[in-house]
Amino acid sequence: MNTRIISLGITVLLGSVAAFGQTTATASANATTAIYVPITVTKTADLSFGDVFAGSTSGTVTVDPAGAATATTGTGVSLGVHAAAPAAYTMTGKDSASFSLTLPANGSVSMTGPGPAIPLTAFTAAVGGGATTAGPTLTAALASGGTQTFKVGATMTIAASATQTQGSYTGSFNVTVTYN
Amino acid sequence: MFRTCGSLPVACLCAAGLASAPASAQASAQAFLVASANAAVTILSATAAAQTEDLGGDLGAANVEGEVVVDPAAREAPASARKSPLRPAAYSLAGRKGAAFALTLPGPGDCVLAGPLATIPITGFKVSVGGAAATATPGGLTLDPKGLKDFKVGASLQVAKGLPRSAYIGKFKVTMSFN
Repeated sequence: MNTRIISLGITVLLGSVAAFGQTTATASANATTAIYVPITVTKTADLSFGDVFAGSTSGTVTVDPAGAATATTGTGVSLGVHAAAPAAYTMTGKDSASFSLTLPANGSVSMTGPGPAIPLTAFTAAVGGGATTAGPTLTAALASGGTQTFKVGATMTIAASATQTQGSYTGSFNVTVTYN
Repeated sequence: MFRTCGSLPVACLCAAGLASAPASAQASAQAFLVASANAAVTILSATAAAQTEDLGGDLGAANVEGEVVVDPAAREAPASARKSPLRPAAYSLAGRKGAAFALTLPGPGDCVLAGPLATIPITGFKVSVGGAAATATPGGLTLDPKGLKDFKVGASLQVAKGLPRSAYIGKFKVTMSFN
């Protein structure tokens, strides 16, 4: 029993000596982190379908974000004096960072007015003046300066003129950008 | 303890041990952003026509008799320079760009101005479309590239001799048909 107590005391003493032996040692380590710029997106123009004449049948009007001519379907559906235009946005964030752009899903947005609601479907986007890409989610990258622009178009479906009361119809929709 | 992230804000903040509730909320707010936009359209009727001026005016105290012609193509001029003190009726059309349309003017006997003691027949209706020369048989009409067109309608008033001074009123119809 006594022998065990003495052995323990020696062990402690040796440990203390060893600790005094390291008092001049220096250990260095690196600390690293990455600071990222928050992503921002600002709307600069609303989506406008302009003036549209309803036809004798139901039809559609499609606004192309890449600047192609506004397309119509349906008998007698035609465009009026005021031209259509896509929504436009500017973005800022990390240089060349990849991001996802999420557009509204079909059936989630409609414009309301004096007549039947006008649903918006087939949202598309053109990033940085590029080609039209279908939604609802697409991937793109910020430019080397950490900025980017994109435009958003969609298709609206109107009823025949006998049903689609003339007047102004409005709605709103969200687009979401997120870093990948 | 320190780690370098290959991905972006959310993952970095969590890996650095800053995943407390407020930090997580901030990270989420910086990871994505939602921008709202409005969508709008104006639905127009197939055509719209509006009368902007009545045919008529004041013959004044002049001893007018016989035929008084209201030229729809006459430009606006000071009253003293006008051959007739009466002005044509004016209309504005709106519709599809380039849409073809036809105009039908009243025929003989379709319109008579009535006063308390006498009447004034109106004949010889003519139209000037977009400032063109007056014609009784307009044809080949189309709306302009903006979907608009103005036209004026004149006629001849048959004023009898010794007509009592009074107001004489009547109505006529101009029919616009879009193809």
